Amino acid sequence: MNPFRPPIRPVPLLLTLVALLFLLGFLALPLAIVFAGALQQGIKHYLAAISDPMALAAIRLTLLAAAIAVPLNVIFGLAAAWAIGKFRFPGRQLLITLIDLPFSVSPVVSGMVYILVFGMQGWLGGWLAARGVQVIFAVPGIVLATLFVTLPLVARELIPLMESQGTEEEEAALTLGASGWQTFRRVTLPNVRQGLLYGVILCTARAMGEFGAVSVVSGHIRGLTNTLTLHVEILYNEYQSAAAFAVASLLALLAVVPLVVKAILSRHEH
Amino acid sequence: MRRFRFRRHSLLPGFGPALGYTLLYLGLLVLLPLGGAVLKAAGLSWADFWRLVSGPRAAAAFRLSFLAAFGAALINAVFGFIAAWVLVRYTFPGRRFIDALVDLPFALPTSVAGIALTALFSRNGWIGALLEPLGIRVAFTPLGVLVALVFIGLPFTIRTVQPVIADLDREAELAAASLGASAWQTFRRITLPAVLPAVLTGFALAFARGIGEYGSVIFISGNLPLRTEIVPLLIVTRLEQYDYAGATALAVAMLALSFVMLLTINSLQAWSRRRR
Amino acid sequence: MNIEIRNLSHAFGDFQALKDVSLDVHDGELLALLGPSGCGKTTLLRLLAGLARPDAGTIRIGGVEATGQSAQARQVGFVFQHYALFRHMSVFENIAFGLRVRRRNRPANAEIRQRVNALLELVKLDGFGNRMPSELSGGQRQRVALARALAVEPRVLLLDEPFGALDASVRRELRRWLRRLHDEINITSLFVTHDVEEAMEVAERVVVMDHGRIVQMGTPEEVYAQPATPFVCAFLGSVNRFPACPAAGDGTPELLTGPAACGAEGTAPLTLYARPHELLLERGTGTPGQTVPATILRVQAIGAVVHIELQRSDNGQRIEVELSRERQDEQTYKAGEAVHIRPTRFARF
Repeated sequence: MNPFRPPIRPVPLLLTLVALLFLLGFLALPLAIVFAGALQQGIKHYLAAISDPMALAAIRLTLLAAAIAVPLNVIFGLAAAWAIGKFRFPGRQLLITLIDLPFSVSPVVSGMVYILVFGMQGWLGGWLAARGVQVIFAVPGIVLATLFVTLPLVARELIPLMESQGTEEEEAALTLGASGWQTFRRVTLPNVRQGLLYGVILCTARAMGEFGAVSVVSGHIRGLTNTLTLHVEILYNEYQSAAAFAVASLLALLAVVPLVVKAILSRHEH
Repeated sequence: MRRFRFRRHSLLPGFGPALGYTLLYLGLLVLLPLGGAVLKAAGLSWADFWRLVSGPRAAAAFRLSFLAAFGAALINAVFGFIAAWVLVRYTFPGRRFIDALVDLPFALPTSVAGIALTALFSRNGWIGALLEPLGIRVAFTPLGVLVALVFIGLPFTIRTVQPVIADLDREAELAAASLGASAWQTFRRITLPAVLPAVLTGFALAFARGIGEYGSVIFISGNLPLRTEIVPLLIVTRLEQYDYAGATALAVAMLALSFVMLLTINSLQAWSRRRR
Repeated sequence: MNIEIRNLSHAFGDFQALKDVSLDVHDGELLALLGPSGCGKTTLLRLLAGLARPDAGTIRIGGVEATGQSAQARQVGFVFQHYALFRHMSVFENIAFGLRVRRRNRPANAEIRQRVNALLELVKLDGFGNRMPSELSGGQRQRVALARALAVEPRVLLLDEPFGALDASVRRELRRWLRRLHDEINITSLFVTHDVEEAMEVAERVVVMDHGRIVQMGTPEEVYAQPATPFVCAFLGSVNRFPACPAAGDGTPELLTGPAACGAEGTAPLTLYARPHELLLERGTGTPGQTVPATILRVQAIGAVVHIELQRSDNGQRIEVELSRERQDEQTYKAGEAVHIRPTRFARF
């Protein structure tokens, strides 16, 4: 398009090549090999692997965990962003750091702290077991671990957004007679809808893709406490490589959704 | 202008309930369980704690986790900086696609990443087969841990450095050039000091993530005790052996490390903001 | 609707933004709050709107206690400096917002449409209803913000730096328009500005503020002609300061030249403030005590007013003088000439 194309200079060319080699080698190849591995034994095998009853049970549990974790974390994210983004108060910075905490904790440790609280040796485990409630090595544990690791995602998208938008539009709504709830619903929420959408997508992808924390609390009971990511591990360890990659390809597709949405959103901005 | 104006106390409604809910949710889900773990570890005597985290197997695991995370963060700092530079400053076909792809390690489940990297770097994998004649083995060696952590940490430097490069004052570079500085001098004296805080922040983020990483590593590392066993895996092993004291001690050591990293990252970010 | 403000104070942390301010705004008045940035004028406006709570003092609107009322209940129209239009709503929906969120007596859709269209006409934006705020110029946004505030039929209208973010030419035009609009709808209005010309041109009454206090109020003519303090005098326009000695009784003070001190022991010197057009230039020997010697540095003769810059020969102080074109044509002052300056009118402090 540019008729005055600058001459090709050696340094930018070299840097571009290095960067491309690095990025493609570490990003594109792993993604490609997932799909190559999934189809290595043909499409029939692929379909069989993802429609296997154990795979379907894993899909159901994964969806269930996400269906509980995402709405709860959306409500949390909105509340946290409203308090932190629109107000100034002492300890505000500390609160932001605390919200980020699940990101800085090893997933294994996140899962383990729930074992220490709800496990048979834990603080509440015995009391709960006496009442017939099992948390660890059961679905509630998986949901809790998922909640923990995805907790910051929505809040993190919304806090900077709400902060940057300031409070003037909300104040304008108040002077026009709107109630607090009307102001939030009609002014604040529409203004952050893109960030909210992206946060929800990220949160969903992460909720369905979490491995370490869920692995620790699940107990790997097939058909009962197996999520998709755990199912991948089991298949892989049983040397069912094609089946493992087939299930992994579903998760990889899921992971690509937020990337595509983000690319589209950022294009809209320009 | 507006940024420096005094921020008024806002009279918008809903602050109390919003903050209350935030604190309650955060407390129940994060602070209470974490606090519980720390209390549990407090039940151990200092000598027991020390024995549990410094035994030969634990020491080897800490050494590997530390070195691999450090090495991977370093590689990501260098190549991530180059990549961020290229993505911001140059245009080439497929730039948007590659830019979008950078977030992949954030989004891809770690077990998927783990098996993909293992397949890629195993002896007959796409890359492993190329390295094999050179006598380089990646899968099931400490090098494999490094590779997995490079993958996991890749977005951090790029995403922290990218906006800083985009915000760089091109006129300052031109001014330096007009004052007779060579391209290298301009880079070293003008560009690098401006970008350095962000690079360090990215480094610290990648390092912190690498130390705790589990899923992507366990497939490619081979998990040989004393050789390719990382700390998170050792915690899982201890848990599976119902050695809760051993697992708790390691977990608390990791938590302490996370906390130190968190403080480091926060102050790096504050520094970075001041410099911008 | 009149507003009674009594002993209002407000602090942000250690910073006392408003100190014991009392003010009466009359029904239907157009009043300007004028002062430098940080003087507390915007804080006062936000307290009136219910967007901040005073630490002390009371506000009554239309004779009714309003101090503790929320912003929603106050029925006060507020036009924000940066407009604060709802960026995701069309111009029409922005203006209709206040009607749509009503719990009680919400007008029917047809009536809303009618009222919004009438307002669009009032602010000269007919046909712009479907535009988004981002598609409007600054001046148009300003008028949408005004229409939105007027839509709920507020008891009073508050405007925060209404023309602050606009180009000079648009600003001038909107100023006159706002004045005419006020004559038309006659709603009690307060606007905040740091622009003296704007306050003088638009407002019926000007309240000058400094450091959180009201320092003077009155009609623009009063305030300009009889500034209450040196601050007001200097803030309202360029001014030249002359050290002088008070004369006995009510006589004209004697101008001081050079290092001389006031004659009578213990007499404190005072300062005379004279605006550039209140000075005359004289050739010849001058009159000690009534003129000071100076040298012309520059004569700038553009337009109807001639600006002359001088330097006092005794103390080196710079003086600005404005003469009419006719007088300059008659006298033809030139740079380098030695003359005497005579203040014809001045304020003394």
